[in-house]
This record gives sequence, C-alpha cells and structure tokens, in this order.
Amino acid sequence: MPRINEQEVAELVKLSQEQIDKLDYESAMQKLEVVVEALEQEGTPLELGLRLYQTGNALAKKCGLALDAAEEVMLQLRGSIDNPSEAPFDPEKDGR
Amino acid sequence: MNLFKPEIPFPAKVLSVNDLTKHLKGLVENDRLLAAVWVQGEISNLVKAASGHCYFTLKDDQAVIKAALWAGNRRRISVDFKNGDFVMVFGGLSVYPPRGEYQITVQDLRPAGIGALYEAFEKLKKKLQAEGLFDPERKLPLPFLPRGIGIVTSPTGAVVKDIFRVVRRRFRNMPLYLVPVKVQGEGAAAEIVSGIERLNADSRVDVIIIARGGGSLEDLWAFNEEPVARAISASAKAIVSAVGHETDTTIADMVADRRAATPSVAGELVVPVKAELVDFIGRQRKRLDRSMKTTLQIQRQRFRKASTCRFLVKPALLIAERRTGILNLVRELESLYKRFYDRKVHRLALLSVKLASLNPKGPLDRGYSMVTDLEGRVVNSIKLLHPQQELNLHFADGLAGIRVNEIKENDKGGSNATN
Repeated sequence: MPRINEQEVAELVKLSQEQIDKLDYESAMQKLEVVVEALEQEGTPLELGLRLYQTGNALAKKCGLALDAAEEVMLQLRGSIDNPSEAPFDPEKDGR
Repeated sequence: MNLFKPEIPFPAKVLSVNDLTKHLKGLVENDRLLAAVWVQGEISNLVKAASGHCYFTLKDDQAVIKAALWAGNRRRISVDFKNGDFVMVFGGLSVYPPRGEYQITVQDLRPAGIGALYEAFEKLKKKLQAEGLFDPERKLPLPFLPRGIGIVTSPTGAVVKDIFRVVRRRFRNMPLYLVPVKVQGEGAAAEIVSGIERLNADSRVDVIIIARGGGSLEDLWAFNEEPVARAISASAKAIVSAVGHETDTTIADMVADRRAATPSVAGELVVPVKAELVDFIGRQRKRLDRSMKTTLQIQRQRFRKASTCRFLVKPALLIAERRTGILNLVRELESLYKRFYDRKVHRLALLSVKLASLNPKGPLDRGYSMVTDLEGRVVNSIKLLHPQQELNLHFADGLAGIRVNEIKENDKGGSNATN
C-alpha cells in the first residue's frame, strides 16, 4: 500500500458538502481513493476514521451520481444521432 | 472633249512624271510620322518570295496600302501570318517611282487586337506580380466544408451545369448561389467584380467559384482586367478560378486562391463527398461510443472498488475493529503479566532451594555434626587442633563439650577426629 500523505488526508476530512458538490468526477474519485486508503491503513486514529467515513460517503455519492449522469447522456445522444434530420437543397429556391 | 478650258491657262512649266514622283517621294519619306508608324489591317494578296521577301496588301473596309517585308526583317518576326489575318505592322512609308506606288516597309509585325491585349496582359501580370498578388502566402485555404458555394459565371451554357452537377453529385444538399454575369464583352469585368463583392457580403457563402468556358484571348479578356484581379485579391473568401482551358492562364487564375483546370474540377475542389463524410462520421461515432463505454466501465469498476471499502459499507467495523484491538491488547497484557508472574514464582522457588541447601544447620538435621572451637569458629582441619584441646560438637538440637585425645593425619582423604 502506498504511503498516505497525512496532510492530504487532513485536508480531505475538512471538505464541506458544498465543496464536494463542486468537484468534478475525477477529483472526487481521486479523493475517494485516498479516503479508502487512509481508512484501510492500520493505525488510523478512530476520530480521523469516522471523519474519513463521512467524507468518503459524500464523495462516493457524488461519484455515483456523476457516473449515472454520464451514462444517461450517452444513451440519450445515441438515440438522437441515429435519427438525423436533413434539409434537402432546392436550387430553384435557394440559388440565384 | 473640250481641250481649251478657259479657267486653266496654258502651262508655263510642265513637270515630268519622274519629277512629280520624286517630289512626292521627298514629301512622304521625309515626313516624321510616316517614317515610323504602326498601322493595322487585314492581310491580302500575300506573296512570300523565294528570296525571303514578302509582299502583301494591308486593307480595311475603306482603304488599302501595299506592304513590303524584307527578308532581313522577316527573320526577326516570330509570329506566322497569312491572308485574312488582322495584323498591326510597324515601319516607314516609301514611294516606288517605277510603279507609281507607295508602300510601307515593314520592320515589325504582330497580330492586331490580340497583340495589344497580349501586351496589356503581360504588363498587368508584371505589375501585380511585383505587388505580390500571386504570392503563395496570400492564398486562402479552401474551407473543408463550406456552408454554401457562390458561383460567378454565365447562367447559360455548360459551365454552370457542370459545376452544379459535380457539386450535387458530391454533396446533394450543398447550397449553391449563382450570380449570373456576362463573361465577355462590354461590362463583363464590372459584373464579375460586383458578383465577387456580392458573394463576399453574403454570409451563407464560404467559398466562391469564378468560371468561364474556353475561348480566345479576347473572349477571356474580362478575366485579365485589373479590377477583376483586385476584386479576387480583396476577397475575404477563398476563390477558385476555372477560366478557359487549362492552357490559357488568365490573370484571374493567377490571383485566385486555387486554380481549377475545368469547372468540374472546381466543383470537386470546393466540396467533399458527403457519403464519405457520413461514413467517416459514422465510424468515428462508433469509436466514440466504444471508448465512452469503456471509460464508463473502467470508472464504474474504480468506483465499485473504492465505494465497497468495508469501512464505508459497515462503519461499525471502524469501532468493532478497535474493540477487538482493545480486547487483544488486554489479553496480551494478561498473558504477559502471567508470564512475568510465573517467572518470578519460579525464580523464588529456585532461590528457596538454593537457600535451603546453603543453611549450615541443614546437615545437622541429617545426622552430621559440626565442630567449633570454644570461640565458635568452625574447625574443618586437623591442622587447627592440638591434643587435649577443648571443642564444642554441635548437633541439631544442642551441643556437647569434647576433648581431643589423639590426632592422626589421613594419607588421603579427610581427617578423623573423635573424642
């Protein structure tokens, strides 16, 4: 297991819900992975563990929603591209 | 016939024909204008003599003049000529008394009309070239896919049909905007210029084709005029020229951003084949779909791995694990203490045994006795004794006073003392 950056962890647990809401998927995911690593590391203090748990839950929720949204967009687009519209050109009307 | 006209008096002096002709010759050949003049007309009665000299008549619809081109001058003239050709010749006038004729002695001969145009063409070409209007770095790139194509050409004839046909075939619904213009004759250049300007102002148009079918230099002349060249150069939209045949390059072709050999080629240059684009887009879309799906899968997996962390799923573990940790610690503490205690007990036992063995009174219990002198010092050798010495003999439960009778030293082994 890679060494955990203690300062990074300390910053992580200070994140507010508002701040988490503003994160993009990749940042949220990276933070979630750090949270998990920190949680699984032996010797994490109990208080820190609990805070990590709270932050981790918020991050996981955010990531899950982002993934669902991405999938939804993809499915919708696939539907619309399969039925493109095409206006035929009328030289008598449009030409001069 | 009335020989005596009263108005004309009888002549005082009569010139010979020769004198008259000489006078005329002097007038003609000393005239500055007539000594070096350009004159144009149609060639007729052309005779090319074996000597290399040429004789012909230059005529227009009202007058004729004889012309002579000597072999020496003829060799310096690059153009070929024949009866019926409209030419301009340069030379001086002379009178030939034996025939009573005047003629022009030709020093240079050029096609008329075309000759003048050709010179104008070369002059403009040099001028625009010097200004850099033909420079490759001035050429605008053609748009990959224009929103609309503007065409400046004659509304009738094969040219516009060819362009429409090719563009349609390649891109069925590509908007085409035709500005019909005169492509030759009076006012053609102005119409072409205004067509280019109009299409430049039309936001639906991204690229412009100016086109005309093949023709003589005069027919194509509008495309060699400076205003047309300037309009093409000033165009903010890329212009493809397809003027005349591939062999007749016009100034317009040189200034244009791209030259097409034919109107059909121009059509091919300005628009891609839609079917190929659609096909390409389709393939790219499939790739996009695939890679998007893969990305989502990877992220799902990553998400699953992170979000199924046992501590996140069952936070009670955070506490339970620590409880177990505490229990384990207590247990370890107990066992450690037990070991510590056991070691102490063991050591105590060992020491007790050792202590017991070291108690000097111990042997007395088992039947041994201990001898001391009267001061209480232990006597453990006969060397400390002398006969009749008084000693104490200690038992477990008391002591007895004794006296030494005899001292005998052992050969080997311990001493023997008895009372």
